[in-house]
Amino acid sequence: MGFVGRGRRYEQKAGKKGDKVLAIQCKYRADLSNMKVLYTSNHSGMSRAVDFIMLAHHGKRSNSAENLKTHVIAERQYDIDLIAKIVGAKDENCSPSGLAEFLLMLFAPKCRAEYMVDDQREQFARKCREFGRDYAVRWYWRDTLHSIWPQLRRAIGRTLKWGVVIAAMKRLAGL
Amino acid sequence: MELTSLEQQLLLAVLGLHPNAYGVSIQEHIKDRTGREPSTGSIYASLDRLEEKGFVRSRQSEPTKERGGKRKLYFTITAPGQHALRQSLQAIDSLSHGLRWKGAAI
Repeated sequence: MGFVGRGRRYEQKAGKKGDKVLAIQCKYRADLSNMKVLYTSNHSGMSRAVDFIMLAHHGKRSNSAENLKTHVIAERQYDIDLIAKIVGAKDENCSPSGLAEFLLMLFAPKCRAEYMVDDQREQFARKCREFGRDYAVRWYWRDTLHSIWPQLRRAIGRTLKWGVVIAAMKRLAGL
Repeated sequence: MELTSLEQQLLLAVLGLHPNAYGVSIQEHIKDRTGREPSTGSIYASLDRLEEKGFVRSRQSEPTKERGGKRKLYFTITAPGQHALRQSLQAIDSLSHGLRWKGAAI
């Protein structure tokens, strides 16, 4: 059993994905049937998810875990899988920028490009869930642009190294 | 052999995350501990260089569910890599040994 809410104390009480939520109060009277789980753990990103749907704004202030438990049990019980639907609805179209991906593929070595893009996508999807699409897109572009120079430098270094070897061989052959 | 600061961090991360060191986990490990988030490109460029020097080894994982059947590239540190890392850390240790920080109340 778990509880999703705002504030540190509530977050500490949060359960895991699939857990039941004991108490939930939506400031905006959200339709719970349209909600789906985004965060159900004590993960740091949860507070943002919770802020988005404005959950568990209790009338009474709980000063102890015991009080909180009492308040929580007094509330209605919802399935957390339903609750997070509203939070996750925003993430369904969460895909990274094709141009950024292309740029990364362009400068990355062939043998590594696929893994780099997949790593970035994995991070992007996670950031999308945690912080929303706008943040994830900004992160994706920043990461891509910061990735280009090291890859380019590495490619130049490799080319120069082979250039030196070829030049040396030509010189040897000339002798 | 000398290691750059990022190379040191990468080797430490690969060692610390063994056997689950791949791009994302390495990036997060470094971010959590140093507050600096190296880009995916700089991580792979440095790992590539370290692999060339024989300090790390890479292997493909089995296809993973979370990536829609795609593979991850895992890294492990080799014996020469551990040796180079130890030497590099010892060099920093000996340089910083007995330092008196200016203005610091010790």
